[in-house]
Amino acid sequence: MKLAFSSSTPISRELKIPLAWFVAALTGLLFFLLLSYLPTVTEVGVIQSSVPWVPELGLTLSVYIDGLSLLFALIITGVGAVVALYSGYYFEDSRVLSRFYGLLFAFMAAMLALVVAGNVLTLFIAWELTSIISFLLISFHGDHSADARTGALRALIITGGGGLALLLGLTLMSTAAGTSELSQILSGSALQDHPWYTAFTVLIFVGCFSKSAQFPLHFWLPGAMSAPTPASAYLHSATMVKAGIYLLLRLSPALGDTGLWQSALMGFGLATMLIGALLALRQHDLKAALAYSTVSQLGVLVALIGLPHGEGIQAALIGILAHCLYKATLFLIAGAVDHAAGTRDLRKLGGLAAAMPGWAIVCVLACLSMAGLPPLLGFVAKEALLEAMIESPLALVVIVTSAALTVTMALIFIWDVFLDKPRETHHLHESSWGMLVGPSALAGGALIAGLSLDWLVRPLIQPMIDQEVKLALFHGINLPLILSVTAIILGVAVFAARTRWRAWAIPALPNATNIYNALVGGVEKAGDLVLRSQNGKLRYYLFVILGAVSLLQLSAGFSHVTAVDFEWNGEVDFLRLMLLLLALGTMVGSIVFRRHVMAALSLGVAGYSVGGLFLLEPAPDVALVQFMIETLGTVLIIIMLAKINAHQRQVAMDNLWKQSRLGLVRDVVLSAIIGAGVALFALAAINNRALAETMTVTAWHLENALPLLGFSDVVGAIVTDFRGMDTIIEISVLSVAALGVLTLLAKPSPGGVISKRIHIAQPEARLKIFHLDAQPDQPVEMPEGNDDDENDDEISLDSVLSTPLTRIVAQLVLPFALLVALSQLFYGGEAPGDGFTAGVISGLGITLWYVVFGYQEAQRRLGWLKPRYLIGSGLLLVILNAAAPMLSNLPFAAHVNFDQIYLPANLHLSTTFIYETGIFLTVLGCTSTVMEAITYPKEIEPL
Amino acid sequence: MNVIFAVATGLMFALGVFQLLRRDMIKSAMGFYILFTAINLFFFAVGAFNGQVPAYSQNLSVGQPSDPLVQALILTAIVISFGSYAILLGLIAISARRYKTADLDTLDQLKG
Amino acid sequence: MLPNNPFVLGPIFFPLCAAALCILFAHFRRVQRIIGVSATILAWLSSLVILALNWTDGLQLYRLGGWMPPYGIVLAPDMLAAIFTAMASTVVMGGAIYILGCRDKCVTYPAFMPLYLCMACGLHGAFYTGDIFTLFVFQELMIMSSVVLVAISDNRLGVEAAIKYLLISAMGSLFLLLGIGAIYASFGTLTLADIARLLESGERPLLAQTAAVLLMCAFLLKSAVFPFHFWQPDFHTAAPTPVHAVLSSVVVKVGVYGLIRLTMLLFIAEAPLVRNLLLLLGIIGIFFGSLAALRTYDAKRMLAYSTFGQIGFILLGIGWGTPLALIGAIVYAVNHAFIKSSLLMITGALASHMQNKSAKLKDIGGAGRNFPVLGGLYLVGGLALAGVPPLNGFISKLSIIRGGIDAQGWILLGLAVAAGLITLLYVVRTWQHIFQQNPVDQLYLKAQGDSLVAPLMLLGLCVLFGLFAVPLVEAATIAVTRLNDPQSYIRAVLGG
Repeated sequence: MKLAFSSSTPISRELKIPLAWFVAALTGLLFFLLLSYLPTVTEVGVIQSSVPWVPELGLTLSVYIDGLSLLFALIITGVGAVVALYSGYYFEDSRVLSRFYGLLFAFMAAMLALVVAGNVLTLFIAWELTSIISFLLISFHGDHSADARTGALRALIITGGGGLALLLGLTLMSTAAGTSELSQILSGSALQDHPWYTAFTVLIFVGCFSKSAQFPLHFWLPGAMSAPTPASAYLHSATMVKAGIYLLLRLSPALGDTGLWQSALMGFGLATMLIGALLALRQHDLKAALAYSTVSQLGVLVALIGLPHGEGIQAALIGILAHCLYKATLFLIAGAVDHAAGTRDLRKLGGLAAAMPGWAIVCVLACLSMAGLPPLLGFVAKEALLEAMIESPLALVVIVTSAALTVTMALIFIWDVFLDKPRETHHLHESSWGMLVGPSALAGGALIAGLSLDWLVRPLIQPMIDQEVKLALFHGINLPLILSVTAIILGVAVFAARTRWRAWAIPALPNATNIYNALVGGVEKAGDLVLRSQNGKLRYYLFVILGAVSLLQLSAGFSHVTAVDFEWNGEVDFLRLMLLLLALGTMVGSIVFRRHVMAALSLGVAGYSVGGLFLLEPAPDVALVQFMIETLGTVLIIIMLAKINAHQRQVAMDNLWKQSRLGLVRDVVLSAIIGAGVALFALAAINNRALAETMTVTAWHLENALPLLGFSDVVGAIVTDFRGMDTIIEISVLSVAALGVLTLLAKPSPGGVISKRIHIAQPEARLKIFHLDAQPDQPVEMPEGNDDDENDDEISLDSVLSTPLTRIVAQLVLPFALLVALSQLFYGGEAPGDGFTAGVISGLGITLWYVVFGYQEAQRRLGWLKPRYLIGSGLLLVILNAAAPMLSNLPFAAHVNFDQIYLPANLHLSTTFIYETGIFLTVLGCTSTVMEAITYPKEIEPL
Repeated sequence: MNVIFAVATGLMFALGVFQLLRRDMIKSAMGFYILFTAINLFFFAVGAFNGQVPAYSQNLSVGQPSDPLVQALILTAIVISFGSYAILLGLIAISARRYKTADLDTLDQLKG
Repeated sequence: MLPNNPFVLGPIFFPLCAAALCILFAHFRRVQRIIGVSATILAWLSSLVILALNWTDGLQLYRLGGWMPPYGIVLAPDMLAAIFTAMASTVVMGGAIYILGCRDKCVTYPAFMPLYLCMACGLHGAFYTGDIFTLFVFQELMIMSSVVLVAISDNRLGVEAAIKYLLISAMGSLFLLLGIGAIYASFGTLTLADIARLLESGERPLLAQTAAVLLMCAFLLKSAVFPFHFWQPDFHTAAPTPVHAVLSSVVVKVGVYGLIRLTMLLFIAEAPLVRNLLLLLGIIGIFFGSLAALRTYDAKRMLAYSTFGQIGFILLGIGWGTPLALIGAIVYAVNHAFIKSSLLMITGALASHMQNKSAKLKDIGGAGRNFPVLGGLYLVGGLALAGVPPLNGFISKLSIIRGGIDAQGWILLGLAVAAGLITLLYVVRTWQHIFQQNPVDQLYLKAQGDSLVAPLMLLGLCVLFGLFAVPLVEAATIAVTRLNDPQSYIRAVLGG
């Protein structure tokens, strides 16, 4: 990781090569460092240590290094060094190189973490990281090629999906095992006969297969070939795709040796092997061909792991070693060829041996190893494979076939690319010798390893094998040898006949890529379907929501309904009944009236009659507020109607009943259901009502209002003291509303329109406070609105209401209102009404002014009134007053009586009074702000 | 009496919901208002006890005062609903300007 | 009997006080901003103090006016509330910082900052209050201010979204009020602890189920769960970026919080019914949201839909209801808040470079090629959203999975995990679309965009909580263990 950072800074061109060597050397150093652990591991078996991380989730940072980990770690670092060196020459641009190095070493770190992790969940973390980095590497050139993007995404989705399955599987497994520590899982109880065994094993299989490109999840690997060749060589042949193999090997002691394990691994492994080998021959792109042959090799390894009692392990390990030696080399060669000839197309390449002899030799070595010819390691690997599989004839047939095909592949690689005469003449720019160092090292490694098995290969794999490992190039004439010879002969034959079968139109195998695309397409279809439900129609939304509530209520059952007794408890109060009927009737009126003003007025009447009901309850305070709010609301809506363009209102009104009969019925039914539900609910609530004597809370309020607060108005006491905060927040809501209305109605529309300055002196100064430009000196821009569409039938308040009489009335009302307000403010404790009602009353007075005199004159007369300051100071006053007692160690919003201050007319001053004053100011500010906003003459938005 | 209140609440809810589901925004807003009036009535219906006298300390001896706590809750509810009503009307006014419509069914630019 | 802890007031009254001041200082934008940001910071600090005290000493209390519950209003943040508020105030602070560097027009309205602060106040209060009616009032404050904030946003469609949300959320308020009324009628009290005490005493359980379902609906509507979700994509997408971040990450969590309270404190007897409903709606929501996010036309809208899906995962945790599952739900909720807010801010910052601030995929495609830093950040956030280790999203995914295994909800668990793949798909595809592919036509980008301080901060938290997940997980564990002992909560609040 350190390397990654050190090298992820851009570097100058001439430093490129030295840096490559340096980085490679460091990685090589790491390689030898790891190698030095080999003896220890061989003796001790396992090196492990553990640091807790998130114990609750079973996450620990623990290390578990045994022979297997070490083998993989050596591969990672060894091949890593080679690739690092190679890419120093491969990338022209040093910037790109440094970016690549960053990713490369990030990957190396993640991969190392994966193989040394001692905790399955930590292992999974590393696993996911490799997927992500692989994604980034595949889309390394994503900004140029769309294929790179799609390929990368596909790879990520497949491996990521596998990762999800793996996560689930590992979590299940660790829950089953009671630990997520590898050491304990491996040594611990037999997981094979745990009830969940099948579940988590299958899930883990999915994960490993997706990562190691097993059929049918193999198709992402060829798609990943748009990664830079060094990355392909490193991730997609040598290391990352072996992560699945690693995990299977790692878990085989714990999970292996069951029918499921053997059948699944053998089946999928062999299938993958065959399919990979077949498909490899049908590619024209060199890298794609190599990718498919990698798939085939991975299949071999999986099949080997599936063998009972770990007989295949040894062969698998040799296979891994051999494969990463020759396949990485071949990829690097492909890269060099691409680099030199500018193409990777087998149909165009040819006769490069003359130009790049060194590469040709390396290629021959690697290909012979791939083809499994002595004395290279590949031969040993194949012998071991055949020996391991000797029991099952079917497997042998498959293996021999695909081995033959592999031989063909190798021959094609040697012959068509290097030896055969050039098909196209392409000017080659020679590649520097440094590039060749790495590949030749690997290929040479394959050769040397093959020649010196005992003191090179055995020590590497011995730690993982219980019995003595016996390796030899030549076991004498036995079935495996015969089989491999047959395979080679077959392969040569197929190669000889290639012109023929190349001509065949081989029926395309079911292409997994298409299936994947179809799946994604299906998901997208589903998405579109889902999105169609978001159709923008609010009435439909409301309908669905209310309907859903009704349905959900069904699930709650009707226990409460059954308990409702409809017995009439005698008392019938006709006045109340009348008021109720009036309320309902006027509400119906508000529905049926076809003129908004009429509807609004009748709604107002409804509100008043409800207020009357409250009065009869008897609840004078509520009634008072109800009356005032009702008045305010009615005025509000009527003035608001004036702001809404008459034509649009007409259209809306005309469309009001334009809905299908079905729709109407639907609405009626829904309303009926909800109404009935609420009625029953309320009845049940009444039946279910707590007995008066158990109503401790409100009874307590009744008793203690006077003694504790000196309030005889209990409601006032609750609102201002016992539940004072409700009121604070409530007036904040009111202020929010006022600010909102003002900002909405007095704000120019976003998206500039032809605008002119408004010529009102006074309001300009006050209104622009709430304009987007808070600079006081800047004049307000008001959008041009044609006022002529304002005068419609119902609304021309100024003309109707602005008679001399009304003017005088208005003049008189305001001071009177203020007087009433003050009295309410002072005697809020004794009589109905408090700061709130006081505020509303005086607000109504101001409203009347706005209504009668119209906006501009009212502005002129009320210049002294600064609603904004009223709101702000009111709120502030309330809060500070509430906070003040804390200074003297009283709780927040405590009630303090200033009894020592003597006041005439049995006023008593207390924090409550200040509180009321604050509320009064706020409410007054809010009402006048709202009025100011809604009587604002100019158009809010352009028509 | 509460029974009557309960039934009335139900009726008002029905009316309110129906009104709410109208195409005309203003009517819809009125439905909104009806619903919140109905909820106040509901609170009274389920209030602790039917009072004969206002909830004033001096009346405690006279008779059963009406539940003051419920009244306090209603006060808050009334104010809050008024606030939302005001905002709603303001929004309707703007949308009539901005989208040239006061018809809920044509207010459907946000979809998908 | 617990003493009053003044810090409890902080998260609620610092913002409110600051809002009042901001109204007074409407002239002076700079002053407003100083006040606003410092208020959010103070709120944040005090919420952290409350969290710490909860951790060490357990439940914190404030009896307003010194009135004993149930006679007065009590603020009673237990561990759960403390965690949620700490999360919320963090994001709110981030949003306030974002506002400083935001180039939208609407943030310059003098009303903007007060409204934002009021929203914060309502948000924190809804978490802290121990009184069900006050919960309603706080929620209303939150809703109203957010409605106005969205309505005044630069987005032309803000008003439409606001109207829709206002009318829909009114339904939620109605359900809530009905439920409160029923509860009050049955028990004559409004303090949560008292209600819980009386409910489990088992007298008058008549309305319990109906009331429980009503409250559940109200909370589901608040957190936009299927089928109450219709308002959410519109409302969130139309909001100005900082508001969008707050709405989509923490405001939706109020509903989640309410549901946990509902099932763990209030209606314990009725919890099974509620839980089953939650499971059903949750799994539907997961797929609904993820699929919609996959196909919608706008990058911000995609994130809104993804919130819709992510809430589903949290609901699963609540629905399973076993301790591990609840821990999963809480961890998921907190992590999602940070991921989503940072992602939204990053998207917003990118969109602020566009001429029309549009985040429509067709406009914004390839726009990110010039901003590699944004690209990296977006990828990190996106991968966190998809639950890729070692980011915090992975921790949440892991804990939810453990919860599911613990509760043995196999089918739902499988479906949920599978749905995770859709998340990965849409996140990565959008990243490629914005930051890798070529623009469809010539793009004209502004050089100046919103500042990246806030998203960096929140994204840092995502990484931090990925690498050092212990504190969060432990906090959640403590919260759940205390939730499982409602008696102690009741005793602590009622002081009995």
